[in-house]
Amino acid sequence: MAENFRILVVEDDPDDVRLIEMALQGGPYDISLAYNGEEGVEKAKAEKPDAIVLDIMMPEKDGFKACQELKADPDCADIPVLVLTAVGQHFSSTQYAVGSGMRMEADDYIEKPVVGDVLRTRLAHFLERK
Amino acid sequence: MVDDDDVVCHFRDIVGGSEETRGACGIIDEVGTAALAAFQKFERETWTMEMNKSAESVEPSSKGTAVLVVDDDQVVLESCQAILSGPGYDVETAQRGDEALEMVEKKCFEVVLIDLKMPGMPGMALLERIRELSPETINIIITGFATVETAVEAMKMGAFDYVCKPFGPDELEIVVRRALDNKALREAAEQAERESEQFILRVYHQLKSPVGIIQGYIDNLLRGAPSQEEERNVILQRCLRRAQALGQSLEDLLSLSRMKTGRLKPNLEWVSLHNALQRAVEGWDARAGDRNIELGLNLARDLPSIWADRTQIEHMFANLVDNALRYNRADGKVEIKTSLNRGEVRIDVADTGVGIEARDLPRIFDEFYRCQNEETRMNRGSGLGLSIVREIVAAHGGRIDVQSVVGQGTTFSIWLPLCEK
Repeated sequence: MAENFRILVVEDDPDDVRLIEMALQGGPYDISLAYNGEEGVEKAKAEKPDAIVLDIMMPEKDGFKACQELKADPDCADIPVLVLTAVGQHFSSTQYAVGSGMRMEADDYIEKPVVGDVLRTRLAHFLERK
Repeated sequence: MVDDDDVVCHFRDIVGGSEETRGACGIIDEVGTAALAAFQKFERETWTMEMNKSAESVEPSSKGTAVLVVDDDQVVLESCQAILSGPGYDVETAQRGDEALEMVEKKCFEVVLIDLKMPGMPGMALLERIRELSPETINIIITGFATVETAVEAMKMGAFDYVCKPFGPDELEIVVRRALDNKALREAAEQAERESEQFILRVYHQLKSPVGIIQGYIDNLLRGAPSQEEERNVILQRCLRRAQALGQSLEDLLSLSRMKTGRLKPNLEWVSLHNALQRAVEGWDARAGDRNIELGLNLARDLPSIWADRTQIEHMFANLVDNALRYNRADGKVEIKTSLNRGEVRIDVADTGVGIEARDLPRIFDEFYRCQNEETRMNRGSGLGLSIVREIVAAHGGRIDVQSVVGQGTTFSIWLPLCEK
């Protein structure tokens, strides 16, 4: 019996969490939750999920810091990170920069709100490779 | 030329001397000259003493505005140094363009005064180089009367202003001061623009969030998810709540913006604090009943009226009471207390709620600031409520403070001035 993919969702808004859960409903996923960047990094290091869905529009920009930290950590750098952004905010497919000059590399970006099959399709792309 | 010291001695001799000595002086001119010289020396010495004293009183660590004066005429250099010798300026000099350039390469000068006519590197060339090396530096041209047109040319090339030789101390000081003021204004404008951009971004995120969520939920509902009616109703409730919060955010934003720009003209009248506070706790049972939160209303006996904008005062109290309820725990309490002291009325709104972390306290009144913990996550306010409260308090000449212990509760205290009827 195939195991479920373990997805870590780092998101502070309970409604956004609900929407992500609804988007992944019925699929081969076990979802783990973190409510801010700090917690996200802790759980990622502890659980080594198969993929991370990360909201970078959390207060204090700690989604950014979390992504930077994870990509800088050799143990976690390989875990695919899909960031949740607002429409029209992306510069290129994997780089996200804001006026403050923060940059980080993610593996993919998805626009909020998360609806339909978008999240599954994007995740599948990374999870297949494993 | 008579030496200074000789003059003073001579003068002392004349003044303190005997009739004989004084008589022996002869010519009144000599006495007059001696007196004048002595007086001037006294003046110089006193002035130097004063300057040294004031220089000493400036903290050694504070640096004045870095100024560089470039002129082949030593007299000009000295007088500039003398004129700008107060504690506000830190003056260095150079007699040639290439010398000045070396200095500019090593140190950032805020103001450089450049003589147009110099041997070696001409003033104009030096100006060009400084513009390249240090665009932030303000350049002021020193020109002789005959070269005003050249000075204007120089200004087209980036000099900020010019001063004509011979210049008096006032003239020089004014020109330099004006240049620095202009720079300060420009920097303030740039800072304001940056803050405005940041504000817009935060507003965007603030409003985008509920819109996206409502959109997401409705999209799901249209696809038939969730399928159970009970769950569907929960989702619809959430949509409604987010929409209401969004509406409130928009109201708050407009209020805050108008208060800050002063467009919201206060409608002043005598406002009964008693009534305003009663109004803030209207419908208590409906609001607090299900969690069994008790209300304690402890109002001073002769609570005065204040000369204020009624709507704003009511809004302020309503916000504090709302927060006290929202962040409270079941079976808790909200207590409102007033007291009068020395021309002020003090209003305390205390709750037995989750409290505010020490790290959040200093920022609690900041725009869009929301604390991060389990309880607040479910409460999606605009983050502007307390910013508006702060504005209202300030507009009425009062002050506000907050005390809090995590796990025990929070007390907001407001002091408002009373005025004679």
